[in-house]
Amino acid sequence: MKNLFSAKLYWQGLRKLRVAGIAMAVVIIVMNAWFPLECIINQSPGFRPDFADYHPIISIDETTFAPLGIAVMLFAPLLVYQMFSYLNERKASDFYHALPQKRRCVYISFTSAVLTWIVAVLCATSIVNTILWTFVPDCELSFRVIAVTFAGFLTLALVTAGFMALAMTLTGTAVANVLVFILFSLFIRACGIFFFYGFSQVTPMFDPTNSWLKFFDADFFLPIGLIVRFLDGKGNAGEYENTWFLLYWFTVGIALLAVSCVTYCRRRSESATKSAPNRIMQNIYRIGVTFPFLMTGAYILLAEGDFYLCLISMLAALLVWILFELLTTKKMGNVIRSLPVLLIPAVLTGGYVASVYLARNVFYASTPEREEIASARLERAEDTLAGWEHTLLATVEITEAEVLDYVYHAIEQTKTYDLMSWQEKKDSGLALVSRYSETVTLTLNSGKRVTYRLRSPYVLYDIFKNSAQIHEILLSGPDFEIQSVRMQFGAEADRRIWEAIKEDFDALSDEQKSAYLQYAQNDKVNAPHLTVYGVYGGQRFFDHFNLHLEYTPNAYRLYAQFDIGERLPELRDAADRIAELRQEDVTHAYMLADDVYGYTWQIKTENFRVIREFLQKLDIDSHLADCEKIDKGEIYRFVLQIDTKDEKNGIYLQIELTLSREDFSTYREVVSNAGAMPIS
Amino acid sequence: MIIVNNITMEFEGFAALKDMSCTIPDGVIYGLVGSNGAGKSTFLRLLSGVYRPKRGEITADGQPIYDNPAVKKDILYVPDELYFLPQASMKTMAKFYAAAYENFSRERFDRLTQTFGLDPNANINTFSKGMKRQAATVLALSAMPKYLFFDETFDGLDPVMRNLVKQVIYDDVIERKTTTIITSHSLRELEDTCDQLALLHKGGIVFESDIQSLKTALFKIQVAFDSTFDRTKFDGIQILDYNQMGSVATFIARGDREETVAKLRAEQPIILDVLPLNLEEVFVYEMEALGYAFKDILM
Repeated sequence: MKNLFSAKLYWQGLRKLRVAGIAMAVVIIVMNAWFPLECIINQSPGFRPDFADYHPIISIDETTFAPLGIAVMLFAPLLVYQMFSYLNERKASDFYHALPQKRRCVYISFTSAVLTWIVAVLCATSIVNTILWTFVPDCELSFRVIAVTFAGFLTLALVTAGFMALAMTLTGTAVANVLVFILFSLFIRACGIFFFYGFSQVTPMFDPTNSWLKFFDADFFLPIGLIVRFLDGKGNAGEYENTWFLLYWFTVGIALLAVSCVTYCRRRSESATKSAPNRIMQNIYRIGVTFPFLMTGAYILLAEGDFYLCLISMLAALLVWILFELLTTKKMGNVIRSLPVLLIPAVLTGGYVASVYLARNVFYASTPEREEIASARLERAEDTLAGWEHTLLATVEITEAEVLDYVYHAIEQTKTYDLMSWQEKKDSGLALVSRYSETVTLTLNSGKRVTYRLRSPYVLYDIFKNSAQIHEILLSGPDFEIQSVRMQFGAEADRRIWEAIKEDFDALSDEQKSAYLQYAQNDKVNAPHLTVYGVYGGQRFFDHFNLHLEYTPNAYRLYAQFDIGERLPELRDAADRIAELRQEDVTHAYMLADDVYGYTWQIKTENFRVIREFLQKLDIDSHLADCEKIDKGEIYRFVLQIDTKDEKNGIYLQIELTLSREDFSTYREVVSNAGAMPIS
Repeated sequence: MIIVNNITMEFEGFAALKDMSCTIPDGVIYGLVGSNGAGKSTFLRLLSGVYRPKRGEITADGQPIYDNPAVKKDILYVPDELYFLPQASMKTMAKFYAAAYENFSRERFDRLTQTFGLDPNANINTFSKGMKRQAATVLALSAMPKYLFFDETFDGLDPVMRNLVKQVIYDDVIERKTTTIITSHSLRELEDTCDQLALLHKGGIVFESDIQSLKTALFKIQVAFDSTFDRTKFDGIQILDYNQMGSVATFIARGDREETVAKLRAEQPIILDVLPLNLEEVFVYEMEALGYAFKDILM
């Protein structure tokens, strides 16, 4: 034990990192306190202020803590750098190498100090954040999320610290440390990502969902995956909740630190101040800076078939090689002597292309036979918030023979198409397959799952949707948990409308239910509708539910009442003010209105009487009295702007109002008389 | 005792030390003199376990030094270019040394800091070059090592301070029988300090001896006879350098001084003087005897 760890050196390490550690803690805690503090200050569900939440949920997931992750990712290597910076200074390196401790012991003690600071900062941040979130209204704190986040970010720190430690023990200058850190942390992964995307390009049927090849996907790259997801605002941390994923990266982090321990023990003190301590490292640098260009060229050839662009990439690789050699050694002779080494990345690039095609051939040769398929399920896109129907389809394993036949047929057709040459595809015409594809997961008799992106002349989605299994579920109504509704008339009013929709739906015949579901899912955003976030089968979805006077009469009436009731005072106020205005006070009157047919009507006049006349003819109060007058889904929205000489009396009104067909006709008559023309 | 056995140390193909061997007994002050690039610092780094020799073996008390804490805890190396922790004071450094060296004596540290008049709370970065050397010496001595290596330590110290540092080292050697190795490119610097001297040249020890025998092994004789004579008259005496002007001969002899004088007296010279040699002269003649031009090595 004495040769592995020295408590005194560990303590010295902690002391050495004290300034950097405290700075890191302050920055990270402040960064991460921002979200909950913002919510506390606003005293409302901070993320979606336009939504009424029926559950006390502010969606706290791992990406909520992404700033912490990103900060940890930056600070962990910085702490490692701070701790081991003596390796870049000759006299400091000698000093530490002369210490009466095993090198292994020095490394482990100092690395432990770095990790202690990281864990301490993570703990402090988690505690502060947890406390702050408890003060946020409507927030349900998830300790599971906090635990997963802690584990994920600790792993992230281990990995980045490991890469930095390895870079520092192999090189002897700050610039080389950073370069090799970037090289190591991105290079190996970049090779995998290039393979993954190259393979995906030449294998359009491939979907990584149930394939081990997703290991090569960028999403599986812990540091980058987090940043990309955070910047994309995807709202979920993807692989962070995958135990194997975390375990894999945790192992990588530990392995990197272990390898760094070996390189530290073998390191010569005189390596300090030298960027490349030996020829092997110099060759690794050369290959590292050149390889991405070669790979890019190969990838372009695979994905686009563009030979010239590929050639340009290859020439760029050669240029980079020469420049790198000239910059680092400043001798033309070295450039020429180094050229044979260029064969290594060239061969690796060739190997890359060969391996991609080999994997593709293996993939297409191993698709299942019809009799092997036990069930099929339609996947929903992972990176978008799907509608509830799609979500429903993604949760049901279809076992109907007819559907499975279609799926098998689609597999064979997709294979045939994918394996055609460019010329064959051109000659056969694109009619063979749809350019649209659906992602389908098959469960085989063996229990194995495979996922394919299938092209089909049939619309697979409809085939799945029209299956007896799905139809049965659909007719039982939208049976899902609603998390929130887009705030239109207030949380309580919206909830009442939603309850009315469900009651109306239950009262329909099967035939009407089918008809309504067809209507409800139409993308008719101008129709009265309710926008909901919900959960079905553990998956979150987002959808609009259109209201219909025939199918959902009670919900429709409620909607109209709330709609007009909410806007009425504003409209009355505007009408009153317009009535008081004199023509000579008005400098400019402008009205822009959208009708349900997608037309925009524009009145731009100095004679604001036209507008006044319209508002006077509008029998607003009657809407409340007689909802039956409201026709199906006819809403119009108008923007009214009247500028006056006295700016204070100017009117700006943006209003969305459900009108009766009668009122709508009045409106059209008025605007037509005013000479307004519909514009698209 | 330190035993160096045929060590070779190379840097990118350049051999800084080549098949070097020597034995450094316990409790001596061992001076290592050589020009810049002779390999003195490399040798000390090897002895401190900073470097691992490419070939050969170095042991202290019979154990290898490299990556061996059991031996390294007794070794302290004060390099030519000193290193202190960033923004550290003497007190901070003392804490670090105490963490690293189990024998570190706080009492000795306090005493020596006081002796040198150093402020233990001041940032070492604010110290002059000489004060930094004193600080490094204080820290090294406070670690109570058995082996103490100084690389060009007296450079940058004024004469008064140099004597004080030397005195402190002497005291340590006497008090604790510390084995001390001091390197310098100046022979005069080491002349009155060391018990044993070695001359390092191009990665190898070309000459090694203890100071006492070095100073007594060679002596200068001035002798005159009233009859004609030449060098053959002194056959039987080991002569390193011989000059004759008329009836007066001056030569450097090696051997037993009394015996040589008796032998010469028997020839009834009209003048016979035995003159002392300083260390530099001894080195010159010894080197020339070995076929080296001394000025090429040290001047």
